[in-house]
Amino acid sequence: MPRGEYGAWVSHDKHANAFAVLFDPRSQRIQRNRGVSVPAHEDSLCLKCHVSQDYERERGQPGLELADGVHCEACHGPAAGWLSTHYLPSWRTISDDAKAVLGFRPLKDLTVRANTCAECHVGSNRTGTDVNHDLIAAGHPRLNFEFANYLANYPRHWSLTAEKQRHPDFEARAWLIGQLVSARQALDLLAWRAEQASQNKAPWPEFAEYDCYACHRSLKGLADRPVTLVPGRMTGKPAWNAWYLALVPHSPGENVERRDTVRKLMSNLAADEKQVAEAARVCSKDLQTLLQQIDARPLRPDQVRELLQRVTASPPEEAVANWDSAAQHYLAATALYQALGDLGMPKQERVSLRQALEALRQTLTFPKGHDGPVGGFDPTRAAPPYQQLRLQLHP
Amino acid sequence: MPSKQPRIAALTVSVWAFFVLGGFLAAWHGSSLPQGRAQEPRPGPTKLYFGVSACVDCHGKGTRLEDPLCRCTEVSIWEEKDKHKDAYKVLSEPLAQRMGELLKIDVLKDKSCVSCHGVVIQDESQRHRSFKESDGVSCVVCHGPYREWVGPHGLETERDMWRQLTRKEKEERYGMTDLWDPFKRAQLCLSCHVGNAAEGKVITHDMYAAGHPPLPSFELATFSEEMPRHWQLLGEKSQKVKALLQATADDTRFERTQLLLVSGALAHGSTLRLLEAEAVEARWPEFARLDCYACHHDLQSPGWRQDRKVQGKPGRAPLASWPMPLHKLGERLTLTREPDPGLTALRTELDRVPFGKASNLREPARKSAERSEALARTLAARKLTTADVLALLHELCRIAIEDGPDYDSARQIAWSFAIVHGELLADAQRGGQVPEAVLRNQDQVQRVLEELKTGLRLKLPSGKESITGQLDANLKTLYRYDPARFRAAFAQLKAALPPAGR
Repeated sequence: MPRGEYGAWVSHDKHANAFAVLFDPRSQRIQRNRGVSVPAHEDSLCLKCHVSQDYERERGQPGLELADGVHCEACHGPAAGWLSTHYLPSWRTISDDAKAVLGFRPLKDLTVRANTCAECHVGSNRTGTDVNHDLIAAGHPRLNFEFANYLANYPRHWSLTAEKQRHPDFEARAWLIGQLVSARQALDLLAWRAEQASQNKAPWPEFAEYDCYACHRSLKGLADRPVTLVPGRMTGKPAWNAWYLALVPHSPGENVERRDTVRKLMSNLAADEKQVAEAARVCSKDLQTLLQQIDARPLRPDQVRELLQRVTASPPEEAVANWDSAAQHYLAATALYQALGDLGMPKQERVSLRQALEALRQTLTFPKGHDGPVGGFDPTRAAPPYQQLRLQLHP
Repeated sequence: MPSKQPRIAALTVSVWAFFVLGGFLAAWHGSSLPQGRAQEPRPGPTKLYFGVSACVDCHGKGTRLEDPLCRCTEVSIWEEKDKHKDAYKVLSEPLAQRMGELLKIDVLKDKSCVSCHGVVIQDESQRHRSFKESDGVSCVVCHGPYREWVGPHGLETERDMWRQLTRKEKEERYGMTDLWDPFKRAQLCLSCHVGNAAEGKVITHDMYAAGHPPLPSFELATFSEEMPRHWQLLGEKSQKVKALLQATADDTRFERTQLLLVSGALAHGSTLRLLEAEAVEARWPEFARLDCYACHHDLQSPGWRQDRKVQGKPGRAPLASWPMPLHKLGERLTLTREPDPGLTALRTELDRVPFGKASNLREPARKSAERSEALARTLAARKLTTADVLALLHELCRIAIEDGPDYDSARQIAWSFAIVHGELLADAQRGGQVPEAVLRNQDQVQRVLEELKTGLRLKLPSGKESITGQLDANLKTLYRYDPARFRAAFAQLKAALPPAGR
């Protein structure tokens, strides 16, 4: 084990800076816009992610240094029970469950890791961590978490080689687990939001559940872009949550109508909150079941290829109908492309796939100074590169 | 037939009168005529929808009469230049047809479209044979779809009787809408240009999303000029005709400013009346009742939206902002200082939870609308003075500089300044007392107004210019709108005014 974890974290990892940003002008403006007099660095709503998802429990404890931001224990678990033993040879002989009893979170397990990230990066019903539309409107960036690609871009303080030795299919596995965990977490959060709203403790409709750019588009490009109907969607109504469920498969034997029930309820802005909460909880359980069914054996190259074919199976009019769905398709294809590369994809194919992916990526980036597409997302730009990708994978 | 008598009389008078009559008789033959003479109308006029062909014979040929009530060129102007004529025709164009497909309606028949784009006839017996759907927003829509006035107002034998009637009598007994009353005119125009639920004139977000061009902000004095006007201003008419229309010199000095004030107050009221009607649980939230650009903006940072004074709770959709500046202008003039409890309650509710609760919105919307309507009536009765008009110009500058208006509000303000300032200069030309600085600085003001005209695209797609054809340029102008430049322009205008009097 390299000894440089702290060094890598403190000098390269944004998490180390998470508390400090609460003093920025942007954070001050957010609080001002929210009409809150408590500064961000003292507001537990902020600290629950900018210090630790267990901030409520940790606060006031000796040794908690807020200035550390999202510190070691925020992810690895409270260390009092294992700090003095986890470097001993005997530590390796203890099971994950036994470590968990001591407060240690076994982050090598990708599901545990994804759960840990998702609590902040998606939001959490458990801790009430919620970047809702009120907070976004006040100036907070929108959350759109995709585990595999976040990991790929993360300045790791652990060994990727060791990780890929454990899981030769690492990139594909991380993608699959990340999708399921994030979607489940998002559904749990939806249930929580709806439940809170039913008690008048949270806003409803909760716009963070909807496609941002369906509404947030200047009307600049309106005249030269014909109105198109997305299948199953009425014009003029916001569409629910393309981000977390765009590509999440149904489990074998799952009643597929359940997810449609949530979708239908959410397309009615006046839907009953309690019904939404119940329907979301049912779907969340389905995803949890699916998560537990993931095979511990590594995926074979042909299985990864099949997965890649599946995520590019939908025609462009569905896959790239909106930015969120298009971006998820791009991110999925990227992660699976990496996995196939690790498992030995022919060089020629790698080059051509990469070109198609890069062309698709360019249609998804936002210009400088923008947090979204200008004049709305244009599916007709994203469709050709997506189609190119699709044809390559479905000869 | 009772019409035979006037016909014989008319023939003996002149060839000209024959033509007038010919038109009327042709028009009248389509329906059973009212029994009895026009001098003894039945209580309350009878609804009857005439077509433009019933009017064109007189109103399309000019007149040689001295002191005509009108110039008889109205239909020609309307037919050649006015978009209202094409209002129904555009429903056949690709954009409207596409809307129909998406909304699954026949746009040429559906009441939600035709209510504004033409005439909806509920009872077939009210359809005169001259009526044609393709006439669009035709004469009767504004002047009154009633049988009784159409005959006597032009017949030579009855004209003298007609001319002795007051505007009120013409309207109440004969059904000719009193469009010289700024309140009534504004109410009529706003019924489409903002909407009127009772008349089925409601634009919805579904209609917008299916492709209906965004309804722009609406300033009646400016829009009337751009139609273009097929009538003379009161001030342009002869003394004799003014007297017939019960207009004094005081009424005509600043008549466009008055129209602007009245329609400004009423636009706010109409917006809230529509909200009141649409705030029902089954249909709420109806996005079209709120500020389009609260949501429809790109997520740009830094951007002027973020630098504005905080207006309500971030993340909640507020009321449309464009009616506010001119409503404020009216309040300023009438020295209304009491807060508007309805408006405050409405804003509080829209901030409390997203879109508010429909049942909590109706009452405050109605209250605030009633207040605006009362304000509009007060403004309609007011005799505007030079001091008033100067105060209005100062107030427009103040709103422009201090309130950080959005694009639609900025256009309202700039249009208004041009109208009010123009009327002040016209008054000076007629001998009205105007501070010397106004005359001295008029070129400077004109230059700034020209800049604003280009920068904000203040020129409407008037006449036969296509709205959809200009949509792209208009939306791009809205997108590029820079409030800092707008403020700077108004700082220049303010500097060109004489110091504020009160």
